[in-house]
Amino acid sequence: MKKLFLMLFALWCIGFLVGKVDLNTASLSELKQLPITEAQARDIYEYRTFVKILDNIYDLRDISSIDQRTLNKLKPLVVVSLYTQTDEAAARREEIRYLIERLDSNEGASEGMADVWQDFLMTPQNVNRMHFDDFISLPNVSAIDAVAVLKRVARGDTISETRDLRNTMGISYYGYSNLRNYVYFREPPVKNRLMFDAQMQYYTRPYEEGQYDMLHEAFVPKSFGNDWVIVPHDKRISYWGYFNVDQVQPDYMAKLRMRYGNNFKAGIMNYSPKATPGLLFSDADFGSDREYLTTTKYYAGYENTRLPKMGNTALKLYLGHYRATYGEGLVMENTDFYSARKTGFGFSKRIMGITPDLSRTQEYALRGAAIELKNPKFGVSFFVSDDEKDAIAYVNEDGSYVLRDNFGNDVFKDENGDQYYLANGVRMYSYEDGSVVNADKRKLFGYVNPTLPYDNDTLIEAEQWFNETLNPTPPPGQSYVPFAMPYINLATRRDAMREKLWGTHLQVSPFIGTRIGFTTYTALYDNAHLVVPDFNNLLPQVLRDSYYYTKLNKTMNAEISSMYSTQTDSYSRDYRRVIGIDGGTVLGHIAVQGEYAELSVDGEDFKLGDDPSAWLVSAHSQFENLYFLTLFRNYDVDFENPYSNSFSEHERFDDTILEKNIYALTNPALSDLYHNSNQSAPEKGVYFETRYKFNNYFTIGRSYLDLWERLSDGRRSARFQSELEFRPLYQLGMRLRYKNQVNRYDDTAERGVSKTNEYTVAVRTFLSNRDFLELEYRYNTVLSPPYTSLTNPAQPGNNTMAAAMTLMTGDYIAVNYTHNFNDNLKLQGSFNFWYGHGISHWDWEDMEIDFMGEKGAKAWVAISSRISENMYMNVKFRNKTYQDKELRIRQNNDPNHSNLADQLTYFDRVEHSENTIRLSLDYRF
Amino acid sequence: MLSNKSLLILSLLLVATALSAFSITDSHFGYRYGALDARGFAMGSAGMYNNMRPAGFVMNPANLTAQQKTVGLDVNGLINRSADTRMIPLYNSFDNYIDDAVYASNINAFTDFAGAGFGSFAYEGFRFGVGAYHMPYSSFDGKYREEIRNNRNTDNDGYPEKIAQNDIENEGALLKTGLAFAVAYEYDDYWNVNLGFDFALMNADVTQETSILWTDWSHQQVGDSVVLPEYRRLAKWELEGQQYKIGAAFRLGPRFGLGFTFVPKTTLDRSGSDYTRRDAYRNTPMDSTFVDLEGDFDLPSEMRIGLSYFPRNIMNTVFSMDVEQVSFSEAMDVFEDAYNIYVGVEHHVAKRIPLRLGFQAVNSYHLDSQAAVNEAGEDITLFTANKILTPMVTGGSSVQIAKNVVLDLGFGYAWREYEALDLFGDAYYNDKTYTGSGSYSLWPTSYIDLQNRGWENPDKVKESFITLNAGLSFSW
Repeated sequence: MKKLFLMLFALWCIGFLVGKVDLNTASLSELKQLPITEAQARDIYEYRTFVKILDNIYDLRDISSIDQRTLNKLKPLVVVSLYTQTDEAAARREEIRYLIERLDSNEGASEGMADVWQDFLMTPQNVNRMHFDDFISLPNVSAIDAVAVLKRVARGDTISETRDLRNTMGISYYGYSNLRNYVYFREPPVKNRLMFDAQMQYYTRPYEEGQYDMLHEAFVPKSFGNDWVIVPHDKRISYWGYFNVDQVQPDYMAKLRMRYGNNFKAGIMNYSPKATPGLLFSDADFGSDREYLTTTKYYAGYENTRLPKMGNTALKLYLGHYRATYGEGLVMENTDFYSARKTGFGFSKRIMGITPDLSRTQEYALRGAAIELKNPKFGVSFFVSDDEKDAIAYVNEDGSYVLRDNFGNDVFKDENGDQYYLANGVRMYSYEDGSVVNADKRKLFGYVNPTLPYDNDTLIEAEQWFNETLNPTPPPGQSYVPFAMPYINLATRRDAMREKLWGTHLQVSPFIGTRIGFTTYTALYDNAHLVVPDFNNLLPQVLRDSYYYTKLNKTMNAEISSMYSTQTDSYSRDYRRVIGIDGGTVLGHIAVQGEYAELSVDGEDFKLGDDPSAWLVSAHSQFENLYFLTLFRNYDVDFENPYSNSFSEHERFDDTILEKNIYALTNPALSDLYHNSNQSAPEKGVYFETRYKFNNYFTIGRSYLDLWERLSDGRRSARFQSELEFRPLYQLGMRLRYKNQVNRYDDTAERGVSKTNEYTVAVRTFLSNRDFLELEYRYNTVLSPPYTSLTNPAQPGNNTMAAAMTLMTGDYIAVNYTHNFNDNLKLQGSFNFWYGHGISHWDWEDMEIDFMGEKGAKAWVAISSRISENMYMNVKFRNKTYQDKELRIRQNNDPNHSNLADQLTYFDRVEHSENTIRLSLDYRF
Repeated sequence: MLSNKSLLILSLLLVATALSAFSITDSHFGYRYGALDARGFAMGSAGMYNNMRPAGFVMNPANLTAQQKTVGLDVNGLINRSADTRMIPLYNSFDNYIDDAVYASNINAFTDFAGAGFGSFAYEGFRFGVGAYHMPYSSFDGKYREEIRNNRNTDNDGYPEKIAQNDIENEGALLKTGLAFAVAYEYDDYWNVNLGFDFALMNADVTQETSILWTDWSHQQVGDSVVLPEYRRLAKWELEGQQYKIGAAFRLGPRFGLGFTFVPKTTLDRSGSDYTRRDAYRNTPMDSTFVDLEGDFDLPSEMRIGLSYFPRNIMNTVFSMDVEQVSFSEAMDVFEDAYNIYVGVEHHVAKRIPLRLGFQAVNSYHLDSQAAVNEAGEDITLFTANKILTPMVTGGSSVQIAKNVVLDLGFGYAWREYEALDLFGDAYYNDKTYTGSGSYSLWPTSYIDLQNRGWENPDKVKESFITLNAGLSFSW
């Protein structure tokens, strides 16, 4: 009887409601049937369509044309149904949008990894089936967290929900709070379906300071100080002036990724950096033979985390561009981008194994096929790549490649096109056995990631022009060979080296969290020999003047002369091979891991211990509010592996002539070897890092101490940084940071000694609605030996003062503000003023780091707009106005110097002013 | 001595500036206006589909009926602050090019206005409309002043003497007065097709003056017996012709609007004259040239496609994006076709107060000319075409003044950097040419070498434009 009554009541309710118009579902014509004007009906429809789904009938009052009388009239005639998001993908996207925004803001540093993490946020992995590598590839999830979960699952337990995950014995709060977003427990939040992610970016970025200086260096025939030299005042004798790179030129990036769940994935990306034709043009339109696809990255892949009939075995198969990362990145972690102190912990992560790659990495991109098969006990992956790589090449006067035969001779062509080599200055057209000289391999110096990505024809044309200035006509009555290097002998060449690469990684995990791996790769160079002179013969090749051969004979240049050669006095081959073993285990709260790698040089290929090597061991201990990381590394100077990307303080070639003495290089573009270096410098050292949260008020933020020795010249350095965060109120936070670095602490009499101190204080207020205001002040000092540009008075020609040590000081003040208008519109802005006397500051902007030298002011504003559930737009505008040290150098000039006769020497002022705009659009559907 | 050839070079350089706007060395085609209405301007000039403001039909005639209004009126005015900074390369003691030294900086303001109105009526599923408008298509306004000073006494903080003053003063605009016709078929709410046609008369009346005038101090320095030749150029010319445009706009449901326009290559008649005169000096007679500027003036064809997206957003958002192809190559061989991007978003941050943000990246051409000699030894003119990208960020808002009456405000900041040849070659100021003396009278530093700078050390030009745009519109 009760049931019957309830049924009747329900039917009555339905009947009652049937006569009413549901404002959330009614069509416009249905709304027009209501006793309101047509304009009011349209306003209601548009409010629902373009503003929001109605929560209740009183939302109608938000519409300007609906007054209270109209509302009262409508009340009995309409209903507002409960709206729920029926599209599970849209619901999931809404759930993780803040995390995606955070990943986007780190994209600049992570270079492509954010794509992988975003995919896992959108379509998480089943936590009960994940493997060890899957866990430790996620941000802020440690090996200890991974083992805690895996052990629990191995006991037959099933983690069924988020709270259940938190109850896992041994998992840290940080591990749990990050992991929970990337995993699901019973049912995936989004079932398999087709998903797309389209991104477009337009960015008029300025060149970084080092690149800026490199491009400004002129090709001049001889060092200053020779009376007969009058260098032409011609802007076009630098790359900067020749190519007019002052002009506003944007970077374009367009990327489309698509996937079906986590199974089928495909993507395509075109990145056209500054000075390239742009998205809508191929280089071929500009007379180059480079095809559009050579600058485009793409992939197609299949992943299955549970192969049928193979238990918990996962498969990855990729064609196109992919990344491969193993161990500590000593053997293989392919990226163009260097990141200092990349520990592999916290947010400084590596994504292990094979992953699709649409990052901006071009030079060390792998293009081919990769397969990975793994289960909890074993893992194997195999990858092959075939790609053409840019290189610094030895070139003839006409810009053609210097060739190299298999006997180690440089081979040239005569007027008839016949090949010969030089023996004691005599042309030899045949070898001792009578065979004709026939070399078909290019003589190359090494890989390079060029700042100016012009095609070879354009580069050669520029070099021909520069060569003219290197060989000026001697003044009347004089004859001389004006230049130790009569023409540009080393130059950037696009696609100079065809690299066929294969590699493999094998891994065994006898126990949970314990694994031993073996990695190797071999890069074959069919068309090239890599030849780098030894230390004693290096400088005449890379420096333009004998005057500098002695002046710049620095021991750290060993980093250059130790670059890998395929031809030396003891062997001639056509490949580079690196092998390594890695492993790790977790013991309670401590995870220990490490990798040992060797570059095959003189020793046997697969024998360890007889070749240049690199190793790294780290121990990470983790507690609820505290962690410690201790890391040892030791990289031999001649371990030169372009596919390594391991922990270090500095990138390779730091402080060498490639960084500090660009003016003396035969071609300033050689400096790209340093500016765009991705490898670690040869270092030996120990690094400690910790973070401890005392309570809700006090936290010692990421603090570290690094003691290391640069192995190329034995310089020992120490760097310490610590920060204390104090948050007495929820709305107020203060941060104190101290940084200290001492170079050459073991020998204070040495020229390379320097002591840097940096003090930072920042006060933050957390306003309502996640708005944020921060004031930051930084003060730094650097004590170092004197430099004339710093110590001598600014009078012309005055260079007579004796000077002891120099103390340089600098400071920096910043105001940062974030305002959220609402959930869909955010404004971030910052104003900075800095002064640095020979010191550079850095500033983390919305999603990139900016380095600032000397003194200036900067303001930027970024607006993040969420246009719809699926679409995001971000616009950033920055103005940076600064003076640089050239002003002071100019003040030290002698305008009356006889060499400057007939030249204008007076100018008004020197100032840089840069406007930068970045527009990015992201559409996910 | 200043040769006739030098003068020719100078004249040619000046002629190269003949088509300019807001900026005295702007490209061959002048400074093109973006959106006419303040709302469209604030949206980065993205408005291929624009059903929001009456003036939307000026950009795409099909927008006339896409608005589905009976009457619309729109009046807009703008003020533009234009800054032109010219720099030359600066070398350090190692003779490295290290940066640029500013030698001339000019800031000017210009104004323009435009208006549009239309009427339309619906008949069953169809709507027919006709509109008229008047607008500046591109501006030829431009002012530039450069002072020639020596460097005497600057070591002692003295004030360097002014030797001569160079001026460029240009006035005029290419105006467009047009009629637009549109027809729409609406087959459901928020589903309609609009087709439009635009016919416009274009005309320009341009005056361009250039002068090099010596100061009293210079005349006194060289003495009464020496003539320092002054240089003047006066160009007056007119453009006349008509331009056609076809457009389509589609409303594809509540969420999307699509727009498309095509403007064929437009040939305008040019008439006028260009007179240059340099005074006689020493034993050199006066030099003057009179050039008839009769002929065709081509504007390239343009194709533009745009999308507007109307999502559900608590801020009642509209997103618009256009891509435009300009076939510059049709106008001259040295040009290449270019693509422009326009993006804008409108959010209603507070009730009825919209915040508009936009971005545009527009390419234009700067044409430089140089006298040269070909292989046969003949004098020729070398043209150098330099494609210049001008990014602009825009913003704006609106105030509803009365029912159906809206005041829109727009703001834009644009900048660009490019290289250009020196506008006034230094050799002209070599007083030894005019005095016949072996030493300078006007330049105290004897080692100064007054020569014209070519492409070995061109000017670096930095320009910025701040535009404020206000518009009043009525629609019913």
